[in-house]
Amino acid sequence: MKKNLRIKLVFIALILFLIYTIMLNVVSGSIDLSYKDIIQGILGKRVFTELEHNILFKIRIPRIISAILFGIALSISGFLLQTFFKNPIVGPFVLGISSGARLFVGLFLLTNITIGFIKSPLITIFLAATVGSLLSMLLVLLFARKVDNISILVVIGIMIGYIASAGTDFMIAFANEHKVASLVNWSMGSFSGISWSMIKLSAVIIIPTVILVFLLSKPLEAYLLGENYAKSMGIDIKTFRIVLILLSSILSACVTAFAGPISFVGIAVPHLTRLTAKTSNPKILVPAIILSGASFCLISDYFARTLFSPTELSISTVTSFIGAPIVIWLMINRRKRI
Amino acid sequence: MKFLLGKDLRVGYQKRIVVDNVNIDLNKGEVLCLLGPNGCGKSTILKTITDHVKLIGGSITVMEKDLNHLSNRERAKHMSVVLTERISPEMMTAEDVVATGRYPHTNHFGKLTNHDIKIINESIKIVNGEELKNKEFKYLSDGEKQRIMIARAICQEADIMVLDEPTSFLDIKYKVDLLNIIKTLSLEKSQTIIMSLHEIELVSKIADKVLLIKDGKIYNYGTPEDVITDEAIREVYNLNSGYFNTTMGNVELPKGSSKAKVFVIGGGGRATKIYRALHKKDIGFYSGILFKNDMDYNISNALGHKTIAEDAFIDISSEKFNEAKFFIDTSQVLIDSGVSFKGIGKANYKLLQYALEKGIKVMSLRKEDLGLNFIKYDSISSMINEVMSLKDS
Repeated sequence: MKKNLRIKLVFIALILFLIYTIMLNVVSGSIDLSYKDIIQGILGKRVFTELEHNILFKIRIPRIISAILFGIALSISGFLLQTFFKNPIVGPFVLGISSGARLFVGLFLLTNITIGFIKSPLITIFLAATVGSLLSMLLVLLFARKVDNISILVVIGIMIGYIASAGTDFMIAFANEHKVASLVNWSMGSFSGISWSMIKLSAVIIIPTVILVFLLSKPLEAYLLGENYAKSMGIDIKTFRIVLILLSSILSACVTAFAGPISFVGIAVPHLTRLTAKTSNPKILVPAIILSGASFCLISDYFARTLFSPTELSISTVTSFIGAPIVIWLMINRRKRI
Repeated sequence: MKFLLGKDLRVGYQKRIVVDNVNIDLNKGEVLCLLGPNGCGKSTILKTITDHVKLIGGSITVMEKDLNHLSNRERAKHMSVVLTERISPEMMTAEDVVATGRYPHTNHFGKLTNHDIKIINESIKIVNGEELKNKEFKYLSDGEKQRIMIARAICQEADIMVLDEPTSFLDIKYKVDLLNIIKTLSLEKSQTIIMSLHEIELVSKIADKVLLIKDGKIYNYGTPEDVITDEAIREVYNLNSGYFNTTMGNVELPKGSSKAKVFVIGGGGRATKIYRALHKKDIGFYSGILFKNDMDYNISNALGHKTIAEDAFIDISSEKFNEAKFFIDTSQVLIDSGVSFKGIGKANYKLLQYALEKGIKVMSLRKEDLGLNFIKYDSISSMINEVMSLKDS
């Protein structure tokens, strides 16, 4: 019973915090809009000026929605990888998966390759990122079969990340300036300048994927006991493994495609959530991670926008400052087991 | 019809067959133990039965249903496992771990019904794990973890439970507990159990059937009474020196090399510890006059230079008595274990008198002095120290 109470409290706190971070992001920025103004505006008691309307609906709200979506996607992607590797130190960024996605997006942004019939540049970027994610994931898996030491695997992941970045830099050196500018902007990692069409596309990808992850709660829990036990309970391990990797790659690819590589969210959020809720049960953890992942990205984006305003930091700058120490702390605490 | 039938199983990996021609047949509720030296293929056979290693040839059927034709879920309803691998899931209580055993029975969301919860609690009770259930699994001791993993397998409610070396890493108390649990499961729940064990002496206590394996070949299969013989164990385990006494269930090291200087009057199990203590210090000894139904007889035979023994329940013949006198004559010391001199044991009393008459030093653990002039000791160790000092002089 005590356990249930704790979980209820955690959910209440997470929901309140999410509401708070949304509000914070709505009101703060270069133009002051008070809570009162906004509430009155929404209720129709006050007419927004054109500027206010534009700021709200063309800048702030899309940005909030994308922070929520991408926060969820990164956190769930990290959660899946942690389940897969049975270790809390992995995430899409440290394993080099985000950088792999970036390399492939670079390939499309810097060259003129198009994929056959697909006209939409957004879908092209997303597909490129997915292919990049999957390829680097496969590379990591290949190494994972050789080394059973997770620290070494993380180092290998970081190396894969560097190689992918070097590949991207190589292409930049030979690309024309105008295209480079668009890549550099993109790869900073930012929720700014995200259009409604990007949001729609990512929602179409992220929401069903996350629902699918939630529906897989039962096998995900069994998987916590290791593949051999999971198999003995009746799970088709080979299929399940592919599903895990595919879902986590799609999620991190989607974020990388539209917001650039964002570091450490995938590690920090699932782990902190697990510690707070004190459970590994995916039925509880997945919804909790959805809430905390959204809040984490919202608060990080809030800091990115406001700390040195008018200069805007990249979101990765903020998430790294928060996330990297968590990873170090994790590694030190688990040294005995690694 | 047999409940479980493994026919001409060929087990191993793509390029390497580990064991060929494995045939097993079990009734419901029977316990099968796989026995053999490290690396003989026990684990591979078990992994093949649980489908963690693909079967290369032959067939395994449960109630005439081919296991390989079942869906994963159906299979899971037939077979639960306790593996050698140690798991340490994050943030899961022992109860959470046990509950995962209900997997094949719960709905798509894994919702535990009241019925499921009842079975989980019962399973935990069988392994005496009530006080563990709310603790985090990761921090339990090896023995506790093993019990919880068995509870997990129990609550899967499969007809067959496969355990790979369940006793390794367990100390003696937990081994006994574990075997008790297994016995309960087989007798009361008609659970068919297949497991590998390291301890030869435990196998005959728990198994209905034994599969004895040597170097990738089935050495023998059958009831432990037929299969586990001193000779079979010596051959399967390549015991050139020392041996395993299957009747007593213990291991003996090879006999010492030094000349015998001590004669031990044993019997009633009183001398076993003396034999061991002498053997450890490499002091050779003779022993007599024992009866062949005495446990001392087995040990003395294994460790001593000469054991003079009479058939059980009859008076000691003068032939044996004279033989004993002969060996006493060549000894420096006689050790009296304190065995009863009453009834057919009185010949040993005469031997003791004989030694004293001959001026041989007699050391005794006996409380009463019987009017004889021997030196009394109250511990084996002080006596052995004395013998050692004699030996050096």
